[in-house]
Amino acid sequence: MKPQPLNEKERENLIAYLDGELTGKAARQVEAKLATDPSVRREAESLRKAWELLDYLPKVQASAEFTTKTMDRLAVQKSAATKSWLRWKPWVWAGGWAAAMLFLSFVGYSSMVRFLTPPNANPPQLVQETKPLELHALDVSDDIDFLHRLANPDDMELFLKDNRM
Amino acid sequence: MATIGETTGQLSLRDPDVRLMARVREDDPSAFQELVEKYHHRLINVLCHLVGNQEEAEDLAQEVFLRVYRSRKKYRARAKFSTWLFTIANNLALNSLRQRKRKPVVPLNVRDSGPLGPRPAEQLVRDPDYHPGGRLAREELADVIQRALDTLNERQRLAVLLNKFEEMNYAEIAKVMNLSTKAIKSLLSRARMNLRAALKDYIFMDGEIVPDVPEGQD
Repeated sequence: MKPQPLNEKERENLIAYLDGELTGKAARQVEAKLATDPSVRREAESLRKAWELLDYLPKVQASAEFTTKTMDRLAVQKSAATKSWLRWKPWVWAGGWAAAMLFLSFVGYSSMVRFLTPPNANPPQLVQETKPLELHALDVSDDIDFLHRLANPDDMELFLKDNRM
Repeated sequence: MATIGETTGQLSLRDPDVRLMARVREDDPSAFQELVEKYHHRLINVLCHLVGNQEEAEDLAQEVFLRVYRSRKKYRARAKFSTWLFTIANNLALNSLRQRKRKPVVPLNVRDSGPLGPRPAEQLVRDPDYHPGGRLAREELADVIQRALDTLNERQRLAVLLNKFEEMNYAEIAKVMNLSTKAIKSLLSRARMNLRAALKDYIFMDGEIVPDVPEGQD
């Protein structure tokens, strides 16, 4: 049987196998292909050799003063951060003081109001208690004249009329 | 690679850089300098092959280290220190490359510029171990390989550099590039197919020709 060329997934697995990233069943499948198919062996060999050619790339070294330059730049940044904090420091303090004063003034004012106002100076609860009674009376009577007459103890006619009924 | 649920304590036992970073967090400047010295060559090597310019690579590396310092209080050891470092480098380098695409710059050849014109011959110091044939062949080959690397897109190139030079496994690269391990497997597969296609004429196969296979996509 003529060997089939590798498909994309098989090629991915072959490369992962060469990188030592393949284990288990997938690794065994690649090993079986390599053992039986010379074209797969050739492909693996060419991929390995192309990879090894990268060893010829020069190793780039940092310039001799790199560390010193980096540490200097760090020192500059630190000093800039400190200067910036020093510039803002008085404003931060002033803001803090202003906020504290505002809070204390509010607390003082609230305490004074509470202390100086006599108890029961404004009893809203009485109004709330009377209102439902009045409303109830109106609901029953449906007539304001009837209520006025009821409030008048001299108006005997009202009771007389009831007796007649 | 840090496994899920691994604590900072466990990681610091395995990764001395995590201990070093803990000292940086406590504002120890000597620890920070130690980290810079330990990683600057590795970082600049990867960045230089990624952006193709040493000066820009050094500027980026400097910015990476400064960001490490600025983020020191927020640092939590969830992975190896190098993974965190290269994650910052990845973000900065890809941003820089994107900006460069928007505002392309024409590089000025240093040798042809300046008041003296071409650089005087006496300034070209000759290497004492200079062997014309061998050196030229190696330099040419390095040039060819750099050009082959440049044919890859930025993500493929970074994945290749981290895999090849930093010996990171797929899971670590995935963490650095904020992708899934499966995506990295596919990305590296396409990158290696493209590299092989670009280097086809330089692969010696003992008389056999390099198999003609389709290139990987972007």
